Amino acid sequence: MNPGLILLIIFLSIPQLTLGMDSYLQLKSKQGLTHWLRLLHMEGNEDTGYQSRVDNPDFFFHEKGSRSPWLELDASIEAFKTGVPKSGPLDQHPQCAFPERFRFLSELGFIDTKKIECLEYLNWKKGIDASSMALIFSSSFPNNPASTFGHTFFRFNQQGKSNDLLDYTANFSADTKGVDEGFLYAYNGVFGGFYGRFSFAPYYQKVDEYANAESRDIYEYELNIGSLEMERIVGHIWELYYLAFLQYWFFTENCSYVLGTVLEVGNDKWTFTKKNKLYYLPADLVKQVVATEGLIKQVKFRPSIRRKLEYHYSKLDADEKFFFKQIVSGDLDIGTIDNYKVLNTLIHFYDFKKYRKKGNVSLEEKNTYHKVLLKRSQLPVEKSEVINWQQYNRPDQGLEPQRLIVWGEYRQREWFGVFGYKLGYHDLLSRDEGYEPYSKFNLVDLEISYREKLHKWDFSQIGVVDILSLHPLTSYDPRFSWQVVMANNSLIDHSSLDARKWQAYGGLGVAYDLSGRVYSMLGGEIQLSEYISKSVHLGPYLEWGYITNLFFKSKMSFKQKVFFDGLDKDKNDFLIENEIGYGYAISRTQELRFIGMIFGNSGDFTFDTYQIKVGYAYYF
Amino acid sequence: MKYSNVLVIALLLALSTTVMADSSSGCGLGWQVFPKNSLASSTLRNTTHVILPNTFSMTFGTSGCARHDIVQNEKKGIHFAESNFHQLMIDMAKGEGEYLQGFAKVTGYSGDIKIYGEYIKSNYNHIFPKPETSPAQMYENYKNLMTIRS
Repeated sequence: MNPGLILLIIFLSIPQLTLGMDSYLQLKSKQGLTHWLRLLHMEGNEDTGYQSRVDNPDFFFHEKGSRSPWLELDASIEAFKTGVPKSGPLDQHPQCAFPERFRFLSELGFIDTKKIECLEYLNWKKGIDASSMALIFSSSFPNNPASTFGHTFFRFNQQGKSNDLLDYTANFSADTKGVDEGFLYAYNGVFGGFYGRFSFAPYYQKVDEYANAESRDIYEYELNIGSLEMERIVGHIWELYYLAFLQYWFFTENCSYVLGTVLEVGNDKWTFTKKNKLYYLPADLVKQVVATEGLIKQVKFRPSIRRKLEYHYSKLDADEKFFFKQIVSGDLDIGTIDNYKVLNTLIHFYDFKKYRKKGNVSLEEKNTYHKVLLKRSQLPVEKSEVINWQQYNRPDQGLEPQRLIVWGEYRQREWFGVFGYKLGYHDLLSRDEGYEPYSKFNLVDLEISYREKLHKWDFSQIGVVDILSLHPLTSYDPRFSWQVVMANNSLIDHSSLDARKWQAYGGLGVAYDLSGRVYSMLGGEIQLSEYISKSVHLGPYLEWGYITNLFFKSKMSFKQKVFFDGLDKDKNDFLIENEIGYGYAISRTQELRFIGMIFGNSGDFTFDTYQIKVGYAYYF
Repeated sequence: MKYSNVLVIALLLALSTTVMADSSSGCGLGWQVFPKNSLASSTLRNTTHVILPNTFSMTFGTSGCARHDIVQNEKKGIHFAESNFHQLMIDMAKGEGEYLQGFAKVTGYSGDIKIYGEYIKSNYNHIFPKPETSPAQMYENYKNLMTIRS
């Protein structure tokens, strides 16, 4: 290009580049930059350039406002002064559409215009009547894949309230436009095909949705928040509620991440959205909020409908359990029972069942439930009981989901050094605090080792997904447990160190509580490898196992899996895998592991078909 | 190993469907919040996707999907009764509880909550005369009962 032309372009661009810089420099000198960038949801910095996460132009007064905080600053000041352009579906005055921007810029002395009265905003604010707020975490529940990672939202505490249920909540969620499942849903969710927006609902509606309909425990983190911080947050949520939509990424910029950015608006010193991982889980927000000194006032627990039933059932003695079962089976009439404990358990049982079956309970069950409630109403009001609920799945107490591990592995008369990385959530030998006990959920589990004989580094394991959901079978909630596994592993029982196989299996089963959890699974499996006969094994498998907590923060597991290859009728019909595991939690981030495995065909074990692994794990 | 690559991609997508499909990102609910043809649904289920607040109301959405306007204070009682029907049923039979307290408040009861609880409990059979009592019927029965009381 002609150098003269370049100079001309630069010369013509100077006014554009410097436009808005005066105010911007003033803003910086007044320590207002952080808040301003947060109000615009800007990412980046002056070196790399800025880009707002808000995607719709209505959120900005300047056409380049989503990339230029200084142009947007000048345009905002101008709009607040002149009252144009009107914003959003309410056609609001700029001061009313952006109350927090206006408050902030007025406070810093950029605007001295008379403040106008914003009826819509004031009525909305009055309706919410927020004096403080809580971060609400709806727990994960592995037996329901739809809720594996949990969910977060805000609850605004009304002034002088006597009942949390009547508070309002702010929820950021993806607008899936009716696409709630299937390939398209997954694709759009993972690759940012949906937009997220804020919505409001009474807290009782959210409690009904999570604690009752989905049987998920709820943790309420009451925040120690000042009036100015509340004003900043509430004002900013109004700005987002009517004017902003943000691209929704299920693994990164999801509901919790956006809530984190909104909470950060409250105070420049708060940071809840550090991007140091490939994903951002609801528990990450909770952990960062809890880790902020002085921010948590109190943590309250609201049990799920299932937890209530478990509790009441556990309080029954043998006779009472007998009566309970007799009434449920229809062998005993409720008229003979006036026992509080039995009646309460029956009430929670039928309530639970009604939710579980989405209201489709039999007429007989409806009649029995009605009789139980009538009977209960004839007894005096019970003395209130304070229940000390076990809060084992409290998210801020859980292990971090990423793990680095160093294994010493012995097999085929040789030691290997193995290095592993897991992007998981929880597994059977990890400490259970913060998670549903005895559950396993690993997404990516990679292990790499140096094969001295082959003179090369190689993956010894590529775990894609490994989920084991053990739901204890009870008379009041008879549900299946299940598992899904997909991985690429070394063929331990093959003479070649290079031998690998892909395997995928899944099954249904039952589990019981027995000083731990014992389970049994039946399912189907496929194995693919050029090192196995016909390159494919296909057939049913049976697995059973036991996991228990031992003394000194340690856990132990045992499992046996028998796979029947339906395609190979001649030999090696049964492939048997035995595994014993031990995990010891040194601290919240460190752990020792031992795994011993023996493999065989139809029970014919040989010296070369075992594997021992001793490891040290670090969670982060 | 082409088949294994296909398997990995398929499983990842299938997994993303299940693990991230929290109802918070969809509509969820349905039957227990606004049953069809119910009292609240006929008066409040205005799924216009218009999110304008009016001067005497709160605007809020349900489950991140449809947005509803609670237009009048007296309808808060209907909405509460409908949304919390099952839990309210339990609290009314017991004569106490968080839901009963909330219901007292939204329906304008400001007296002694213990006396209120006793009264509701002792009249449970009038509020829920049959197993199929609907939220709308329950609300009407409750209003009649409170009218008699006053």
